[in-house]
Amino acid sequence: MSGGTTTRVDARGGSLFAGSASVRALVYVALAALLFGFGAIAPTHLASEFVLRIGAGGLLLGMLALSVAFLMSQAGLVVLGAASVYGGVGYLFAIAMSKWDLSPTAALLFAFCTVIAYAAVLGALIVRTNPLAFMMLTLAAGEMISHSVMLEGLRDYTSGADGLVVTFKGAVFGMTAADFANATQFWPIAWSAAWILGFAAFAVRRSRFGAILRAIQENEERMRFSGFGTYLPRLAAFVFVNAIADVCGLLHVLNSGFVSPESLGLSVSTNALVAALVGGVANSTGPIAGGVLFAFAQDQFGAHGFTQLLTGLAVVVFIVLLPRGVIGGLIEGARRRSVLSSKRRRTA
Amino acid sequence: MTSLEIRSLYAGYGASMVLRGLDLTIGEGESVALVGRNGAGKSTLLMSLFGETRIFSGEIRVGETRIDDRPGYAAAKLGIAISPQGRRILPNLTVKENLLLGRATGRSGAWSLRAVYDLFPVLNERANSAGTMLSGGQQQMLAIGRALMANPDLLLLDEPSEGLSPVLIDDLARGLNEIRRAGAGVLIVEQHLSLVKRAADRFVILSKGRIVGAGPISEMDSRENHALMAL
Amino acid sequence: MRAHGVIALLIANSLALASLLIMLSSGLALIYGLRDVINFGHGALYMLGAYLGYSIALIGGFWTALVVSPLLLALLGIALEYLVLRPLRGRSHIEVALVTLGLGIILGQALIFVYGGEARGVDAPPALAGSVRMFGLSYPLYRIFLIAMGLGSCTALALWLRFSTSGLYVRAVSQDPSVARMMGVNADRLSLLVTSLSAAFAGVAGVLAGPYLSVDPGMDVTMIVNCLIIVVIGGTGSIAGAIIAALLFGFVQVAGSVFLPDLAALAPYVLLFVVLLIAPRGIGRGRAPA
Repeated sequence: MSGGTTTRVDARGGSLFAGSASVRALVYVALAALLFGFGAIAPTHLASEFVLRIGAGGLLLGMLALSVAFLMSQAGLVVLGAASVYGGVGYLFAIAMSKWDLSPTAALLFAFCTVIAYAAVLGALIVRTNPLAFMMLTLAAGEMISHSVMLEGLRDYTSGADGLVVTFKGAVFGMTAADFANATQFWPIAWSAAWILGFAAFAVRRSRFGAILRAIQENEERMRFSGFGTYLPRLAAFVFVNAIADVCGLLHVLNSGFVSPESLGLSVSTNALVAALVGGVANSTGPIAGGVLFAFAQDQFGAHGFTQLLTGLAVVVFIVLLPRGVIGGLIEGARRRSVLSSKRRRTA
Repeated sequence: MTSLEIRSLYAGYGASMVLRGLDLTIGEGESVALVGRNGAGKSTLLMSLFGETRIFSGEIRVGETRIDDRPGYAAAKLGIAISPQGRRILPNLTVKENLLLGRATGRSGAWSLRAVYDLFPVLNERANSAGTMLSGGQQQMLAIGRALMANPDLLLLDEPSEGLSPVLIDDLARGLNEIRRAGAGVLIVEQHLSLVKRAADRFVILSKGRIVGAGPISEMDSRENHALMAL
Repeated sequence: MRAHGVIALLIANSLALASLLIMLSSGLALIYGLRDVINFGHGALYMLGAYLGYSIALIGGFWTALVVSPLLLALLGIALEYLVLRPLRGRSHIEVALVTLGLGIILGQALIFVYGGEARGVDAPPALAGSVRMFGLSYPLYRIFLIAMGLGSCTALALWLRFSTSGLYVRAVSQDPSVARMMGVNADRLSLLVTSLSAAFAGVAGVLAGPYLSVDPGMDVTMIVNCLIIVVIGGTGSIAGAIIAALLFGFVQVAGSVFLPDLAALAPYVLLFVVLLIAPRGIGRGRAPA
């Protein structure tokens, strides 16, 4: 040792720095900012429009997957009707503009708030039941919405199976309809939204609220005996994940300019679920990465009509072999490697 | 040949450890009382024999066979039967059906439906009532009868006197003596010390997850032992 | 006379549909009660039973199909137990359920690949092809047969559960798995029996569905959703609840298609909501609260 100074070695592996956790945090933030900036700009210059389109679609699916994953990992509840919010908000947006003559921004707000209200009411009804009943009820709610969109009586509003073309004049948040539809301009929006929503989920997960949710999932009775309400936290969580689906659904309709019964169908809901499993449900990066992976894989397999088969295989393979998903698996691998290397350093 | 041997058992639920290095040996036909404060780990010990807890390390053997790595029904098949805490009578089965459940181990012996009815005649009278329609004392008899139907070598009883009047506890003690006379060993977890004195030959004291004292039942009333039991 | 006829028709058609649903839902409910796992591939098993029945019937006739298809499915059930349910025993229930979902999707896709995407018609066997006069109306004999089969399987199931030793053990495990285990009940052996029986019944239902509904590529999804709703309404671990729920479901579905044809597809979902709002734990008296 050099004279006089003692060096405290951080034995918790992998770190290049002696001591200070705040220094490490700063480095992570800096890296994240770099990654964010790079990811927002570089693809628009390097990748083709086609790739950007699929990638953005993947990010949107990933955000929907995030909403499913969050509720699954934090509250132990599986949502099977996520697409009904994702597509439904698009329908509301379109109808508000075409039938009620709202301005695009007003229509956006209207659609967003209506979905939140819907989530609050639905959640209030179903969050009390056991997990299986909950799942079936979300499926039921989703299917009811899918069917009502096709009803003859509502044809004036929804155009039934034909779907609605959604355009608007003027600008929303400074961008015109054409801007949103442009793949190069939309990518940074989708990328930023993914980061924001992912961070929101991360913040809630790390908060006391997240801890309460997980504790309820583990032992609901003990929580109730300890004086914690178990109803309101779950309801809040349900509204939160629906808000995420709400936002990405609006981005979807702004980008695609079209909404149809397929947008809110069961297959979109299952895709979101599969994307969550593929990426890993325990954190924010997993589902979003899973969405992107799924979108590209679907593009490859879909050409041959094998999308469904892909879905089935993905579910089985990932749960049996990679239960933490791709991202979770990578994190686990990195952790193990750093534990091993710190062990080696200690015995050296 | 020993009936039950537990070596250095660390066990608990989820992430929490309740038993910390517990050693216990019960010989064939022995009657042992397990005493100690609430939360010391007495029920956890019994549950560990059936795979209902998380076993961190240690061994449990019945005779020569190790059971801590086997499915939960292994202990029953090897001759360990239990009257669980709270009795755990199945509500949608009749009294008779609850008893017949005890035959799942397939072990044969002196205890048949007839023999159990002889020991506890009230069970015969209420044979077709729903299991939970019986009084507390009757349910306790049903729980013991159900365990006996497995013709066990070792009968476990978790707080059998709970909710019973002194008269019924008296009946219980006499019933246990008959069972011991028929050859089974008994491991009884119990707060009611006078029942313990009638039902067991020796005692062990469990505190904070390990055995801190033991001895023949005659010595149980010493001051040190009472102090140990309160720990 | 007219009203009599309509009501009789309604009841008969409800019973016919309920018969199929009972055969399928009780199998699903048994596995759920025993292992706490929902077999999401159950609809695909039903579809496999139907398509196999179609193929076998082409060679050997309806009655051969009715015997052979369930046997083949029972074998598949045994495979399911040994290759999927047992190895994954330690995993969470959601994970196992999702694996069965994935396998169900793969099986469904395989069937579409082999048989193509159009619906197939299956003829009722000559012995059951006619009609019978009931309440002044002509009613297909095949549906009477279907109702008889449903009633028969219900009765057989009830007798088995009530009077046999394995039935007793199944009931015990459904009510309190820990205590049953402590008494020495071998849940693994029971599970093998239950899974293969459940698959066999799915096979029977599939073959029976041919002349009654049709054999088409969407039948697995429709059926699993229906069965799930029934099992949830029936309550965990309650076979009696599942049977009552199936009858209720059949009635609501049939009545819906008669009186409100546009909204008929929504009827099961509305039923689910209504029942669960009134009785959140379902109809039946299943598992003892933990």
